Amino acid sequence: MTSFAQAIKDKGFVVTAELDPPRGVDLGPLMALAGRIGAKVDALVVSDNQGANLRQAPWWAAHRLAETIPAEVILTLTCRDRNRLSLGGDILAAAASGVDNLLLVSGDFVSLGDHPQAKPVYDLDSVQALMLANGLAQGHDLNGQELAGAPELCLGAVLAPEARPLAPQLVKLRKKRAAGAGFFITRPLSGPDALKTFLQEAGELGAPIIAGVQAKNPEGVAAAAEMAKAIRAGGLAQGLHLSASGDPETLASLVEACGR
Amino acid sequence: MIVAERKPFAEIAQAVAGYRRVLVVGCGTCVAVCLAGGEKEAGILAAQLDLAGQLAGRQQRFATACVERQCDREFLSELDAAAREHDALLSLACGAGVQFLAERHPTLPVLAGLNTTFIGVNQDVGRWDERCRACTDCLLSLTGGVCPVTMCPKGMVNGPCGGAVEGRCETDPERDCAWTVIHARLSDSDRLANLEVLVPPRDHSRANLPGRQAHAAYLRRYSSHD
Amino acid sequence: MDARYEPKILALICTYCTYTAADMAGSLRLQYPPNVRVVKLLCTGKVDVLHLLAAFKAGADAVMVSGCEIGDCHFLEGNLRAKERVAHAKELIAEIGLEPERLEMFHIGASDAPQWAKAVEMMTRRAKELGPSPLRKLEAAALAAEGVAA
Repeated sequence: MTSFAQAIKDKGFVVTAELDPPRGVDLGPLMALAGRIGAKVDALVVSDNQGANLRQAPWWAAHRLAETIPAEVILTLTCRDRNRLSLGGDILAAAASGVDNLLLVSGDFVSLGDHPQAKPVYDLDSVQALMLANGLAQGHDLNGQELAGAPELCLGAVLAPEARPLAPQLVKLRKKRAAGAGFFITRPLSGPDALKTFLQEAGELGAPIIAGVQAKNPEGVAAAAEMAKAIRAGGLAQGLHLSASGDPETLASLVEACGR
Repeated sequence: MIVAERKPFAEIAQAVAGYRRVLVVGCGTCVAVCLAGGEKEAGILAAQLDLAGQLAGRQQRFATACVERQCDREFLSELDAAAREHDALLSLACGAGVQFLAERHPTLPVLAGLNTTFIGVNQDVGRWDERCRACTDCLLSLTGGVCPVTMCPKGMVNGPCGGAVEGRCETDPERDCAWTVIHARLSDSDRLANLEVLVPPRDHSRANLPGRQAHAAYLRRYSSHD
Repeated sequence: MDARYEPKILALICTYCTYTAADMAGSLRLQYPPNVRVVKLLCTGKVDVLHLLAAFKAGADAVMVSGCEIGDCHFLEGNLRAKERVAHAKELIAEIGLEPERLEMFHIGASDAPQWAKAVEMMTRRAKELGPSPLRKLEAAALAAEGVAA
């Protein structure tokens, strides 16, 4: 069991925060922000070409964070930008560099980002990416061929509690769970009630839910913190995932308000 | 059928600019139905090129011909004599037809007048919609007759991504989320259990290479091309 | 512009409405420019994009298509088809660099002789403003080169 999986199990409630790698080579600001908030969260989630916009590949920041920050690191990998060879290779490299927690996502479509002309990959969907990673953790690739040394991995997936109709989402959710998702991080929520409604409709997922709480600007921090408090007090989730649309100061205040 | 659209006129005019005698070759099947490259469109394009050539002061002649299908040798052979009378052939077939015509006339420039867009259906007069990606591994029995490989921009085969908003695709609020439609279709036909099937990663090994297939019985009896 | 320039305008008009109006214009001794050459059709639904392109190829400075008023086509929708084809042909001639204004669709009822006269005046004025069709000039030059009087 990776230490993040252990943390979810032991603590019952975890806090994660999302960091976007830079649109350039200087990792300094990201490392500085991580230094400020690292002690107040259980894990830092490094995004992968967030919103289909070009950024530094996340494995480098993830590796540097894992080396220097006491918090756990979760590496996001999209199916949009990688085929199965690349996904598998990146997962193995991440594990080798000390990053063993993964958030495996489909990825926003290329038309939403800054390179709408790009050819999207989607060789695998997020369920199949989980199958791939789960297989690697068991020592084999998608074709059942053995690895020389299996990584120990903790696999997460994304959950969209507010997507409607919900029924098709629940199908996907069950498959993600079956394919090896050990935790779910939700998309940013509009409020605690949205999560409550989802839980009533979805029933028991069999895996912890980390509720997405987003502040888009410093003015939004108070409301986001209020939501976070309600989610925690209501026992609606087993954790919080804090994000701030890429604004470091907002994220720092949000972590200050909601972190441990 | 194969759907295509005419290339921008300026691009075509530039491609034929250096040739004196050009044969505009229509194709009478798919691209005729989608009003891009049939006999009619070949005539109109030739008339346009003729006027444009005249305006540019070029000594050019444009003739037209149309065959039933440019993807069949028996029809292409009808063009052999006419092709010899021209300096270039401007094909209004899909990409397959253009290549087959070029293969038959390796010493002649064969130019493309269309952009092939997709395999689709005739949705309305003058409107076509894509329906198939020719992926070599059809899932339609499972997915209620709605193709997730084609109709979902991400080609998700195990359910929707998280981006759908009120049943619409994250790429376009006018487009239905394919998985919402699949779910509704399977629900209406009492086949929701289909959705629980965990679809494994697709085998692309066949689709990755130029496709080739044979019908053994016909091949044994008729084939003259080995 | 050459002051002696007199545009040649081709008019493709339907027998049921516009031709009747043009005929009446004659009976009424209405004056309008003599630049127009009329071709009577059973219905403007017969007009094809290829005919319109051929007219410009033959040296027309402007082309007018005139059918019945909307809703009054003797063949129900021939004039509606003509309207779409004229719109399409405008795009096609624009693509080759010819002014789309050289081509226009009109809807003139059988009893509307003054409207016909006005339409011809308008197209003649427009054709004069646009100047000779570049295709006509080329045609004339080619003929001159061959020693034929233009």
